Amino acid sequence: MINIIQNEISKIFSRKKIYIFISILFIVALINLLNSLITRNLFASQDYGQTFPLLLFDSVASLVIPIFVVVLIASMVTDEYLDGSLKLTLLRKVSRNQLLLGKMGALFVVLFLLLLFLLIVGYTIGISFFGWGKVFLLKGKELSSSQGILFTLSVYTTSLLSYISFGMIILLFSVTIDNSGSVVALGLVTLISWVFIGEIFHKISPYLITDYFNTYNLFISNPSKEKIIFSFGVIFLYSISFYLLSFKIFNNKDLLK
Amino acid sequence: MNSNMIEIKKLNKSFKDKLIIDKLNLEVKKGDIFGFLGPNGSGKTTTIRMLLNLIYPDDGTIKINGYNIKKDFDKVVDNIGAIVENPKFYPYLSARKNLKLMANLISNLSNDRVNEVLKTVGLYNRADDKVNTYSLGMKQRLGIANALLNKPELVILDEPTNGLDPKGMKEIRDLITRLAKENNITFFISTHLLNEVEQICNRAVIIKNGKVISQGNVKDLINIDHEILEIHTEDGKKAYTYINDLSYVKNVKVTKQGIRVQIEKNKSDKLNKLLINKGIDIKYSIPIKQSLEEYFLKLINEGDKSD
Ligand SMILES: Nc1ncnc2c1ncn2[C@@H]1O[C@H](COP(=O)(O)OP(=O)(O)OP(=O)(O)O)[C@@H](O)[C@H]1O
Ligand SMILES: [Mg+2]
Repeated sequence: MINIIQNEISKIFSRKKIYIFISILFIVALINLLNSLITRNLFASQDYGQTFPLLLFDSVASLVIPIFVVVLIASMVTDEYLDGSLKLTLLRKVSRNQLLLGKMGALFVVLFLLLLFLLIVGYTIGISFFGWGKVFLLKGKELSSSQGILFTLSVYTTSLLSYISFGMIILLFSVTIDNSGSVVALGLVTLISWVFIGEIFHKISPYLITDYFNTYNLFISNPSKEKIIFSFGVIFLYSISFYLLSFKIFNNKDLLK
Repeated sequence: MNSNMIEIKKLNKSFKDKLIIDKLNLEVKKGDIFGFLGPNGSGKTTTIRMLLNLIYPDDGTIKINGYNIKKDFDKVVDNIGAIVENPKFYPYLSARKNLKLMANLISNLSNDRVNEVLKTVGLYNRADDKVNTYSLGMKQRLGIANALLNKPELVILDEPTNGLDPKGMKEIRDLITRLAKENNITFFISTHLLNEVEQICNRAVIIKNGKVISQGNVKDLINIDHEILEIHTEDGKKAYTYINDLSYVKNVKVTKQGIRVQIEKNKSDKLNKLLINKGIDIKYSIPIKQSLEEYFLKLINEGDKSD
């Protein structure tokens, strides 16, 4: 299994896309920096370095990173199927299940690395321009520094899980639709409409995976245990059900390319 | 215990209600260089896809090395190397990197195996170029290199000389014969080129519209085990009824001049006598000479008429 994941990661890093993603994250970081510098001058607001990674995350969490997910999976699955290279792996001792799991494993690692990059850039820029700061202060919430770090890490990691979960929906599109443009389009439509629906109908939003892309709001509200379990339950259920469905379709599919 | 490398029984496959593979039976013995011969669209690639579990038969069984691949494909896949349709790779990677990724999926492979197969197919010096800069011939070789990577006992190649110039064709054919001899590899090679089968295969089947229309040792096929007689007579229809069911008669057609019969070798005297005994007035009986090429074309054309 590890070898399949290694191969997938190796392919991803041999292509341009991932470097474009990294550049985009870096540019977003610079825009955030500029923004913080300006508001600080205008309103004497006090952004501290230790909160900067979360600020940064907030600006990419609900659209930018999910779009990366859509594009990555479409190219890993649909593009490879269409250009005929998907079967290279299947003609080795790799089952269709292992292939899909390997690809999702690679997605996990790559997103992890992207988020790690964002975190490091966030702290580096934050500290160099604003100093570490006395306390963790964000949107009126005050935490000790160590609590702040923990809080930041929790938001980053739980969001990572929700991206994988969302990825399973895209995986379903990718094994069903033999056109990567359509997969991306459908993925974006799903993403945007779900975000939109979540904004309008607050009752439904906890059931939408898009609601967990930025778990900042969840953690900041001092959630009850039940609420946290429920959230993980939703993320988990999306993952499992969409994976199983994708696998079932892929396993029965005639691979004609 | 089992001398068959591949055993296909009553294989059926339709795409959208169109029957593509029609009760296909065939056997490939260990050590064969087996020719899978058929014109464009006859179902060669479709069959190969089924052999490799990429698509699933509607009906019938496929055994490789004694294992039913429906259940036990994972037990045989280690032992197979294959090219399906055109050799496909990750075009943005070098040949070496492509093979390294594949090697990473094979257990117990020596570190040097990638270089070995690159040398075998003569790509060692170009191994670090990206595959998207490769010519078709180079891709075919790389495909073969990839197929050899796991030291398979069975190598399945789909039109391995397709699109190559005569020199390239010869090199690939020589390579196949050499590998079969030196490494004891059984080859299953699809092609639409009759002379390719003549040159390298010991056994072959000819398919058309997903049906086997002829099979056997290539020597016998070349030595054609059938001959064709044009029998000129007024009683064509009558003659037809007498001989249509004879075991040595493969095919009869009523023509303008009489009948055209395809029969087993050295049976023409017997047939003529029989017809005379039945009171058919034979004007002429003309044996039609045919080369393997004609034979092949004729078989294929007959297939067309029966559509
Ligand atoms: N995905 C598909 N949907 C419908 N029909 C298909 C599909 N793939 C192949 N066919 C049909 O199946 C038949 C056999 O195709 P196949 O590719 O197996 O032939 P082939 O013998 O490999 O031909 P070639 O020499 O051109 O490679 C053809 O009539 C083709 O049109
Ligand atoms: Mg073909």
